[in-house]
Amino acid sequence: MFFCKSFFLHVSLFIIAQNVIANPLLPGLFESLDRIIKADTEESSDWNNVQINDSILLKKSREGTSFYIAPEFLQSILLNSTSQQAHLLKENFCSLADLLWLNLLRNGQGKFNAIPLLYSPGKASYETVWVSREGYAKYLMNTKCKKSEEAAYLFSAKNLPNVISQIEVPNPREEKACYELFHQALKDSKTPYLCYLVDSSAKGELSLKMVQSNQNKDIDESSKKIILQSLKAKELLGEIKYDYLQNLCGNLNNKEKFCSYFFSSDYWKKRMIQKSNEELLKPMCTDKDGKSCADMMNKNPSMCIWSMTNYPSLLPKVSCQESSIALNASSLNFNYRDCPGRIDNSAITNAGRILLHFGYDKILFAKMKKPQPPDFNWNSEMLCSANVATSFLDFSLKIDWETAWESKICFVDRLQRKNFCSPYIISNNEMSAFSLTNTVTEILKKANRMDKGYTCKTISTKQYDNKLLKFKTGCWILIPDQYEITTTLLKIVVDDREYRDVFSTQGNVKFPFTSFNTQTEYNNFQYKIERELDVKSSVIKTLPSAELFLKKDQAVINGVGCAEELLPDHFKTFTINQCSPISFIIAGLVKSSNIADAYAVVHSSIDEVASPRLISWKQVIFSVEAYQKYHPQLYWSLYGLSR
Amino acid sequence: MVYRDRWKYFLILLSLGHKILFALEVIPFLPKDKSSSLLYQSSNDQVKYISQNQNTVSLIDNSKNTMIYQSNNEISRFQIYATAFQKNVLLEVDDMPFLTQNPRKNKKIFWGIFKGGSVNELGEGAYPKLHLGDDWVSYYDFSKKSIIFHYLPLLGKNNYKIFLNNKSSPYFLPEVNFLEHEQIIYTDVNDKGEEALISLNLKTNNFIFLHKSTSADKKISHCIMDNNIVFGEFDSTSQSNFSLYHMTYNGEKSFSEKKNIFNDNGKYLPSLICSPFDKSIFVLKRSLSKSKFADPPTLLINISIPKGNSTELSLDRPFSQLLTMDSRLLLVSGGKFYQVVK
Repeated sequence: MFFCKSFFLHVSLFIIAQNVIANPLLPGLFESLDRIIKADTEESSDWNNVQINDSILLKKSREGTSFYIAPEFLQSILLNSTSQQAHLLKENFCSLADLLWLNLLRNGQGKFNAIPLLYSPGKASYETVWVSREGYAKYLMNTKCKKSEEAAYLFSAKNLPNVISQIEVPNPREEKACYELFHQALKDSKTPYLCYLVDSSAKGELSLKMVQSNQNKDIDESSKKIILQSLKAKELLGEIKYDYLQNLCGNLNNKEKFCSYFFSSDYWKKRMIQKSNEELLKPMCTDKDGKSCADMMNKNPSMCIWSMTNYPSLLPKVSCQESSIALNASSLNFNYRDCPGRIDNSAITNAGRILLHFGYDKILFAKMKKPQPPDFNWNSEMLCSANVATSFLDFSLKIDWETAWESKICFVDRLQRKNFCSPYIISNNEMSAFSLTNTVTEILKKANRMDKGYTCKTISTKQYDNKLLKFKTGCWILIPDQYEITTTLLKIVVDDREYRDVFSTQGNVKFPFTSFNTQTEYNNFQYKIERELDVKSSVIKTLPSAELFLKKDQAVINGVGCAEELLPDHFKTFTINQCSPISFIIAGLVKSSNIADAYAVVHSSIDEVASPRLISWKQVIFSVEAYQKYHPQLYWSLYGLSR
Repeated sequence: MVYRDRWKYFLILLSLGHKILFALEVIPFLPKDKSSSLLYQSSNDQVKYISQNQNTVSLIDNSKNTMIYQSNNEISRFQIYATAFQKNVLLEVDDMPFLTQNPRKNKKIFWGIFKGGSVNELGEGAYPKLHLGDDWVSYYDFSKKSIIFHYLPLLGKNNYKIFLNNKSSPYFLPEVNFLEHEQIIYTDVNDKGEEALISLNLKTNNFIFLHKSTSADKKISHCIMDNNIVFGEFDSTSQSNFSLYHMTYNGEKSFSEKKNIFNDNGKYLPSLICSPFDKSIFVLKRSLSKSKFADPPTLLINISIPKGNSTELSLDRPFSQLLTMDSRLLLVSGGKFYQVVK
């Protein structure tokens, strides 16, 4: 401890000495720590009652005289600074001006208002003059630290709201970028001001708590004002910026710790830094904002185990802690929630996730010059898997792979003796041509069975009550509570009249994920994405090859395995050669204590997309080997996919 | 080696005796037919069911080959379920194994006489099972979350269906066993994820909770040996825990008090198997690594019933599953099968 303080002090002294004490006539700055401590405790008592003379500083500086802080005083300041302040001073000399201006430095006696400066009137002598703290800060700003002067102006009371609104919370994706960000922050004159805001907000909160708990009844008006000002600063910053600045200011002396906030800390806390991601945590905590929900998940990791039951998927899930570690290592691009339990063919889920990961719509648009569909990013609880299903249907129709999706809604028009059929998904996405609402609206309009001005709306059977006036007119599609997104019996009501006999759903979605016979050699999902999206694939059989492959841009590993060996905690084997094939995506690896093994970040097609599991690499290989034995062509199904 | 030294070694071995299982060993299970097409093999190797040409199920009885089922599809996958009673047999058929992926797929279920030349359709569901001397059949209907029961001697006349309380977990599979005619025990899960072991009379619908878990991260697995009910509660979080309980069924819906006979804070696969060899159960335990995450199991634990004495067999490779086939105890690893022999 003693060594650390001594080392830090001397490193800081060395840096500052280059700027502050460049004059060889001045006494040395380097002393033994014993001597510095002695001066700090004994001599500093004389520094309180001094005559301040700022006019000499102004006059002499105009004449070109240089001023330097007296070494004993500087030693005392550095000895009493926090390690964050010392680090700031070491990295950026001008932060001395900022810290003095903000009155954040201390000497052996605490906060100070006067500083002894040395200057040389003649060739072989020097004199001491005491100037005010603000005076010396202004002197530095005028002579060497113009940026500090700008910062002092920006952070004045009238400019504060504007400056705070312009602060952007960064989100570095790589360690290197984070270190660069850290060094920029150290050199930025705004940093001491921002840290001052964070510090005073924290103190304001503490004081408020004390007032509220009646520990400090006799609070005067000026203290009240200070508390209110501090709290106002926090309000202006908002929780996300406040959290980020707390991390920055608390770790100005430790870049690794600063960066761990972005890389090894809680995944959801980091994701909530961007307001646009808040929607992702809504299904987790319906009555809380994203930030509070992420905090709650972090404090109570078991709350994820049986969560989001309205978004059906494999339960129990892993703890929030395990899921956070997995998500931190995952390279899968997703900005949605899904619910595999609503799709009977789980291969659709996996295919849709892969398509969305590679941004299939933009690739196909560039290739085929076809109109680009919108991004299917978000759907509510009721339509939670429509995004992945829509992407798969959209892709299969664009590439004329119509046999993959035979799930259709049909309308028998007895008057016109016509049959209308169209592929559909239970979704009310207005921008999608296959959403149930658009499909049914179009069919009814074609058949002249509905007012041209109507647009059908989906509603759950439970919520529909035809006694209510609002349901007496318009077109309503009634969806049962338990439904599969591609094969469900629906009711369609137009102007309070049910079209019971004329609408029917038929077919289902079946397609080979990988080839299994000669007919499916060029007619499977793996082949289609390689051809249509220019996705490159390579066989993955070993852990080193997986590690190497996942370093590529946008790389993920796609696999098909037996559920009994991939997820043995959930699927039991009852007979010999039993296999329930499921597909999965490996989007990262987490190191294991055993160097021959690692944990794969597995987004299985029956797990909710943002709830991956960490599965031993050996376990993954077992499931793929078992599937290979089950496959008619003994196909090895673990493939890396990259662009 | 002098006698005194031998005595020392004997003492050391004796002290380890309660922990290490000397009596069992694991050998590869290599049936003569192509191993991936084998669906069932009796313990005496006389009776086999195999899959042929990707879409046919054949019975091989003392080298005589009889086709018992042929699918209309080019490629199908089959499962054969039989017990040590060898009275009846169940066949499960997946007609679209490579066009859809769905671990909760309902498949066609057939039944037939063991070693019989044909099978008859029974219904649609998954994971069928024979009970009570092969007279009862149960299977699970994933789409309706219900368990269906058929009494084979009076087929069509004594059918039952029970609906699970489970509303949240789409992939939950209940474990079912019969205690006596129309008296079952099964597992269910509530909206909070708490599993329970329930005894139910199919005729009267009277039920008793035999055990309730207290949190969503606990799983229950059970098996029965005569009138002994053995069930384990497995903790799936990092603070892993396994507790084994025993109780007896005294007939006429009367149960003895449940006794906790074994506890361990290791990580286990949440599934227990009644031993085909003696009155004991087998479970797979994960390695002793300090990792917070699950590694494949490398220890086979045998626990005597009702005393709860445990012995363990350290396996030379990790395994994913444990199952019985006739009187064989099999371990599964990467689609390969290994037999635990005495």
